[in-house]
Amino acid sequence: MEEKDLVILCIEGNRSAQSELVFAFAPRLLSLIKRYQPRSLSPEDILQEVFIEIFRDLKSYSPEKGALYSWMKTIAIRLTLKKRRLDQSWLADRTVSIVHSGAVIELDQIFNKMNTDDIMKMIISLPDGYREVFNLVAVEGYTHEECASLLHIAIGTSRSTLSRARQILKEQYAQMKIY
Amino acid sequence: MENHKDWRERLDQNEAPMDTGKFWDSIESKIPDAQADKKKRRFFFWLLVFLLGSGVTVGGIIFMKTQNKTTDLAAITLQKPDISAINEKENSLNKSENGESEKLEASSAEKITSNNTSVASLNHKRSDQNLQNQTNYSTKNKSIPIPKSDIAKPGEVMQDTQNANSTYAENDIKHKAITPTLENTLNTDSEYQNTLMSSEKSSSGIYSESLDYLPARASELASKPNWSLGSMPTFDNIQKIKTKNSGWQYWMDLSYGLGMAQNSLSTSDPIIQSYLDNRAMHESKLESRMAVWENKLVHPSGFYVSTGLRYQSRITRFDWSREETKLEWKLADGFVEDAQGNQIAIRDSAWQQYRELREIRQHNTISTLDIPLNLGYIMRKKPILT
Repeated sequence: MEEKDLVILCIEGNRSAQSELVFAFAPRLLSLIKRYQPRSLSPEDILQEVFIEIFRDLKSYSPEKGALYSWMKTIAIRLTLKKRRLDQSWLADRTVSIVHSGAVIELDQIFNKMNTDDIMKMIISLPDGYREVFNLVAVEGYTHEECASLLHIAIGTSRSTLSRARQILKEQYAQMKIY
Repeated sequence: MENHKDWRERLDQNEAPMDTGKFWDSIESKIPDAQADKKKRRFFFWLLVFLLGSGVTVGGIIFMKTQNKTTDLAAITLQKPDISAINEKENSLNKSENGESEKLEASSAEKITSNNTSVASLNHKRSDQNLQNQTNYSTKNKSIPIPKSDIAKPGEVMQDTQNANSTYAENDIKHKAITPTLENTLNTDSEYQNTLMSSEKSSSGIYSESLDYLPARASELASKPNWSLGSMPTFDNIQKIKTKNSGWQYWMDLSYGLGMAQNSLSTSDPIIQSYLDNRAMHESKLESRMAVWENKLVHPSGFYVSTGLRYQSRITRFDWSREETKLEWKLADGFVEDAQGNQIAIRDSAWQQYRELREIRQHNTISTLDIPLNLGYIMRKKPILT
């Protein structure tokens, strides 16, 4: 079944089509949410809310705007970040051990050599604020302006945070190599 | 460049292991039902239609009933004096040119008296002062002496004592005017009112609200105390007053106001609740502004319909800030030169302290411009006179 037909059936309230949509996209969206996952909330709970929001707003989806998954991903990211802001504990400090390797290595080169699970682990291990900026700008491709707007921070802060996140990831990689 | 995309694509397409079936079961019941929403919207649409229809129907019925009351009142007041009996009497008088007319006159007068006791009683009050010992009734230049007791009722309404002895021919017009209808057999306004009250009460339907219009008529009569054809208030006038007050009345309101409201936020989630508590504390004062322009049509029965334009705006402010001091272990690498000019790599580390200030300042304004349609009922004892 094509995406367009699936969407129409879902809007009409067809349970079979709705379940098909959930089965097709839930694991991918869960992976996405886990990358942004706030530690105090279960990612499955957020995914539930994401799908309810998706089914509620499905009427506003238009194939001309892009692929269905991209539209769903936008909702998932926005909702996850919203949940994040509601959770006070995200302000808690997190100690990061940093070991400087001294080597100048491009992060893209590092990640391309690594398997996906290891990349996920490294990204999730980032401090909350760094992880969000890194996910939005480096992974999803948002601009610093969009990122700053979503996270309610200054554009300069977004830039410096991304730079710092890259630095931390590189150092983590070096640490993995050392030990 | 290809490598650059690769890790992102892999991340984007990565699927987290999960029990999708169980997950579907958990959300199936929470997915909004499009059909139920449609039914809900349809229900509210028809409810609105029903309410509007009911309002219009009830308003129409009340309006029609009020109109009928006006007609009934006029019918009652006009029927009270037995005009047919009087006409019969006049015809008899005109026809009678012999002595038998005297008997007819007397019997007609008695008939009138028996038909309308209120008129008779009022006539009786005036008969002593107005009538002479003997009154001449004439038909076509022929004077007929009639005993006082027999003709008191129709003749007494003539206050003009100068014409009391004049012939019927001379007073033909006046005689017609002073035939004992309700309006011209009464001497004062109070008598008029009393008679109207008793007339209404004696009839099958008692329209108490019609009595409310009598003071208006009384004031009108006060400036014209004498009975005469020109100045005499007629039943048409009464009906006019009544009709005027039974119409829709138009009101227009223009208002502007400022208000404060208490904000209360709650949730079952304890984590979110801490945020909401904080938010409620900072948002405790809400500002609201409202300007209304309203046109109101009020029916004397109390029902009203109003519409207009209403502007409302509500401002919520959320000013929150939190400052945190953080410590981070920092490492720094560099090079120094020794005495021989060789560069030596050094590594330095230290705790770096920095403060983090987080601020949330949200000023949300919600403005609405709507056209209200109100149907209502005003409780009051008496209709408003215009």
